[in-house]
Amino acid sequence: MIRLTTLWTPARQAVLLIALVACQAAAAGPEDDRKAFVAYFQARFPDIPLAEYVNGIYAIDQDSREQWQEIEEFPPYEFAVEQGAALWQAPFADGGRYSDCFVGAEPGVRQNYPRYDLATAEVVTLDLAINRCRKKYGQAELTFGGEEMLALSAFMALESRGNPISIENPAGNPGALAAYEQGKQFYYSKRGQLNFSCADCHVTSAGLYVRADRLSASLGHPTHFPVYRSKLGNMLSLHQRFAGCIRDVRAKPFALQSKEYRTLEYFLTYMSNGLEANGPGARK
Amino acid sequence: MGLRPTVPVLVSNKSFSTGYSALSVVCVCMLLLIDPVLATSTGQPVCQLPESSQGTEQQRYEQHHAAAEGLRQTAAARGMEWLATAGLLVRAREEADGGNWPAAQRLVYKACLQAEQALKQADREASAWKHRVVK
Ligand code: HEC
Repeated sequence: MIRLTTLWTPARQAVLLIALVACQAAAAGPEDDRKAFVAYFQARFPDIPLAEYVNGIYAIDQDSREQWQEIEEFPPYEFAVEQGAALWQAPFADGGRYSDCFVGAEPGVRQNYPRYDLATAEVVTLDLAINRCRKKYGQAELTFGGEEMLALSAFMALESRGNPISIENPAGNPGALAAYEQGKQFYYSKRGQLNFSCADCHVTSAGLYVRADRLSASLGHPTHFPVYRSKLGNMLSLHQRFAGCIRDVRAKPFALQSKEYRTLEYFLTYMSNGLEANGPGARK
Repeated sequence: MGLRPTVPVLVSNKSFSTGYSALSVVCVCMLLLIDPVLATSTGQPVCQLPESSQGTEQQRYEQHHAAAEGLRQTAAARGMEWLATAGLLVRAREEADGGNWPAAQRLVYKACLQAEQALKQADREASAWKHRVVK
């Protein structure tokens, strides 16, 4: 104990501190994370082309893929897309339009969301951006997960098809990086009575069965939302899907568009950077 | 509560330099401030089955309900609340309202254990998640 005391000099503390700081600096940044994430799945499923991951479980499961392709011939999300197109075109009471809120006046901006907004220091998803636009023009905000929000985002997703997901590297801003790290921690943390993390199912167990369901890879998850769920007979947002998986591990879900889900989406979408936006989707 | 036994050791170990023990006192105090589970663990165990000794049935129930609800709220604040905990407390309250104390106490006890487990999970995951990151 005496020895320890004498060794515990300020100099030693300084060395430790420097080592700690160096370790932090050497920790992998978002781009390293993304490369490792992609490499993991490519090594795990060498026969699946990278571009296929946007199709979720149908990239992995050939049996259900044919059924899904048949469904896509008469897309069940078409009604929502038409409704969304009408909403996009209708001017607000004061003459403003959705197109006034989005860069280039285009509805096809799915690939740029979520983005870190420097002014408000928070992660802005497409759904949040839609409501901010409405607020700016004095409109009542839409309910997240509600019919109109899903219709608008479905239309915008369709207009964005083929555009590569282009999330700016969060490393460029401390606030953005912190938000990204929050989402990353959420993704890898075990939660709920069943003690599962997202990664336990959608990384480690991708391709395996959990009861009757085969598990998809998280790579490509955010590219195709919202989706039409045949089981439910309606459209479903990405955050509603998060809530479903969180409920399945017997943890209490968060509010749609909560900070937890927005940072999770930020992390997950960055992992899919470069893949093509292909929403809306159709799922069982 | 893995940290509990180490608390008195760190604080009372005279062979460390005063700087170190002062630091550990500060650390322990901060831990106690941010973690009610640790704080309460220094006294009675948090989740208890009803005893037939002190107070009325109602008083004992309220005490246990409040303890369980406190833990549930702490777990929620850390984003780690389990799905069924709040529902157990609602059902406990219903049984209590009907004067069915044993059933009410059993449900509160279950809720309390769940919240306690959720907090332990939160403590573990505060660092354990890092080992799962794809590298
Ligand atoms: C117990 C296993 C399990 C866990 C844990 C889990 N999920 Fe899932 N998840 C599923 C199953 C089963 C499906 C449906 C089949 C599929 O597409 O993988 C699914 C589907 C999804 C989908 C939709 C995929 C698509 O293409 O439509 C997303 C997104 C998703 N999960 C995200 C998450 C996130 C984020 C977490 C962590 C909060 C998570 N999941 C945790 C089992 C799980």
